[in-house]
Amino acid sequence: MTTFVERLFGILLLFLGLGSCTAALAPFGTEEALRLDNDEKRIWNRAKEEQKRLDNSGQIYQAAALTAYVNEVAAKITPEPLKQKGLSFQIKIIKNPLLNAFAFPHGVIYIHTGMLARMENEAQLAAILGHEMNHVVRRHMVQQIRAVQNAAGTLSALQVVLLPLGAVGSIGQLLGAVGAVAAVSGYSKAAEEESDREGLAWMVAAGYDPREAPKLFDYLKRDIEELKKDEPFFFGSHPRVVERQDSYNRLLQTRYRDVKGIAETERFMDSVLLVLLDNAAMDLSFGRFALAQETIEKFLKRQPDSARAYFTLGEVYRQRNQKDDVEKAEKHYRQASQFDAAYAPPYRGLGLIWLKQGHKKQAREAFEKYLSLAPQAEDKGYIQQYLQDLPSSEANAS
Amino acid sequence: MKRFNLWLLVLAILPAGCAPWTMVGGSYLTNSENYEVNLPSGWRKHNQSRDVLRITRDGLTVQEILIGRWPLDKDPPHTKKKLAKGMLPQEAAEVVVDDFRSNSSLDNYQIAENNPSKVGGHAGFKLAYGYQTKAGLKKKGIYYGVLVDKWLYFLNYEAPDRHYFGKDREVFEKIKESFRVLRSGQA
Repeated sequence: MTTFVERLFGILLLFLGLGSCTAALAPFGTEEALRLDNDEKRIWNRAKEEQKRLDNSGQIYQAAALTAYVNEVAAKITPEPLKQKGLSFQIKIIKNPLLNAFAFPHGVIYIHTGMLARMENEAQLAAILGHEMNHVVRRHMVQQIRAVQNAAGTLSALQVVLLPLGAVGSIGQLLGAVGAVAAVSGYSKAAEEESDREGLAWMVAAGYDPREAPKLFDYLKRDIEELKKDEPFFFGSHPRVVERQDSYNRLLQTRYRDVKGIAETERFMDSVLLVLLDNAAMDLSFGRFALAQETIEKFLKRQPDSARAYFTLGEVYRQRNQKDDVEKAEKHYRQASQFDAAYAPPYRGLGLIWLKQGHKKQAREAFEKYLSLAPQAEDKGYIQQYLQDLPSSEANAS
Repeated sequence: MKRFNLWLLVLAILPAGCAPWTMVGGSYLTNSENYEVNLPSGWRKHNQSRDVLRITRDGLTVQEILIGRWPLDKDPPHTKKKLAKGMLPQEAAEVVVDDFRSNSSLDNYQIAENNPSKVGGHAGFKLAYGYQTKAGLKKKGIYYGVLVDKWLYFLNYEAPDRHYFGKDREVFEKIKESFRVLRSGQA
C-alpha cells in the first residue's frame, strides 16, 4: 500500500523525469574553461550556502585520515583533462547510518558513514564516487532544476514532500532545495544511467575491478528489504535498484567483458575500520540491531581483540533482549573485559544484567568496578542509586 | 424574540466549546489517564492536543509542558527500540534518549543530564537536554519519565534556551513534585 508521501514523491519524480526531455548541457571538461550559465551560477551560489549550513550542522564525521583517503580515491579516478580544466572535487563524510551519497553541483560530495560501513573494498567506493562525480561533470543538477521549473513544479514543493522522511528527511530539510534534489529525490533515470556508465568508465580507467560495482547493490537490496522504508535515496526504490544493477551487469557482459582490475580490500578496510564501530553505535541508537550486529562482526573479523567491539555487541544483545540475548550479552561483556580489564563500560553492562537477574553480590561488584574505572561516568547517578539499594558486601557476608 | 435570543445563546456557546485553549490552575485529575497533577494558575491548556496534556502560559513557542503516558506495547515514534515492562529506569531512559536522537526535526541533540529521579513516588529518571530546531532556534528541555504497570508516564518541559528556559523551570519542577499516578500495581 502506498502512502500519501510515496504518491507525492511519485508525482514529483514524474516532474523530475521530464527533465530528461530538456536539452542536454555539454559536460564540464569538453570546453576550454568552466563556463556556467546564469541560472547555473545562481544554483551554485545556493548550493554553496546549503553546503556551508550542512558543514556547520555538527553532522560532519570528523576523521582527517579517512577524509583524506576518500579524497585520494576521488582524485585517483578523476580524468586528467578535467583536473587541468579547473574542476575540483571535495569529498566529505556525514555521520548518518542510512545508505546515501550525494553531490552538490559545484563538486562537493557527501558520503554517509552508513555507506562506508557497508562497503567491502576501494573499488566499490570508487564506483560510488565515480557515479556522484559524474552528476557534477554532466551538470545533472541544473538540468534537473530546469526540468522541474519547466514542468511547473517548484522547489518549495520538494521541501514539503521531504518533511516526514525521518533521519534522511532531516538532512533534506537542512540542505534546502538544491541539496534535496541531490540527496533525496535523485535524478532522472537517464541521468542516473549516464552517471553509472561514466562512473564505471572512470573506475576502470583508474585500474579498479568493474565487477565490484554491481556487487554493492546486493548488500543494498538486502538492506532495503530488511528496512522497508527508511533506506535510501541513492539507490532509489527496490525495482530501481534491480534496474540499475541489471544495467551495470549488461555493461560488464559487453564493454567490460574481460576487464579485471584491483579491489584494494585491505587498504579500504584499514581506512574505514573505525567508521564501522561508530556507525554500529548509530544503528544501535536507531534500534537497527541486526545491522549494528553485522557491522560489529565485520569489524571483529579484522580486529578480534577489540574490547569496544565486544562491548558494543554486548549492548546490541542486551538492548534487543530477545531469546538467549541476555546470555550472549553477558558473554560479550566478559570477553570485552578480558581484552581490556581497564575498560569500564562492560562492567556496567554486566551489573545491569546481574541486577535484573537478582544476583545482587555480583551486580554490586560489577558496579563498584565500573565506578572505580570511570568515576565521572555520565550514568554514575544510576549506578550510585543501584549501589545504595543493593546490600553491601558485609551484609552479604553476614 | 425568544427564539432569536436562543440562537444568540447557541452561537455564543458553540465557539466556546471549540475554543483551542482553556485556562487551568489547581488540581488536574484524569481518571482515564490515571494521574493527578497540580497546575499553576495563569496557564492554558491546548484543547486540540488530545492524547496529552499540553499547557503554556505565553504560547507554545515560548514555553510548553507536556504531561501524559505512553503504552509500553506501542512503538516509540522515532527509534525502533522498544520499551518493555520490567525495564530499569536507566534502560527506559536509554530508549527515550535514542528516540530523541532519532527524531529528524531535532538537530544537535545533546544530553546534559541523565539521572535517576523519583516521579510520583516511583523510581524513574530525569533527562536534561538541548537541541536546535530546523529554524535554528536553540531549545532546552527537561523530561521526567517513569514506568508504572504497562505505561511510561512522562512530564516534559521545553522552552527556548535564551531568556525563557530558566523562567518557568521552577514552575515545572513544582508540577512534577505534585504528580502522582492514581492507581498502580495493575496487570
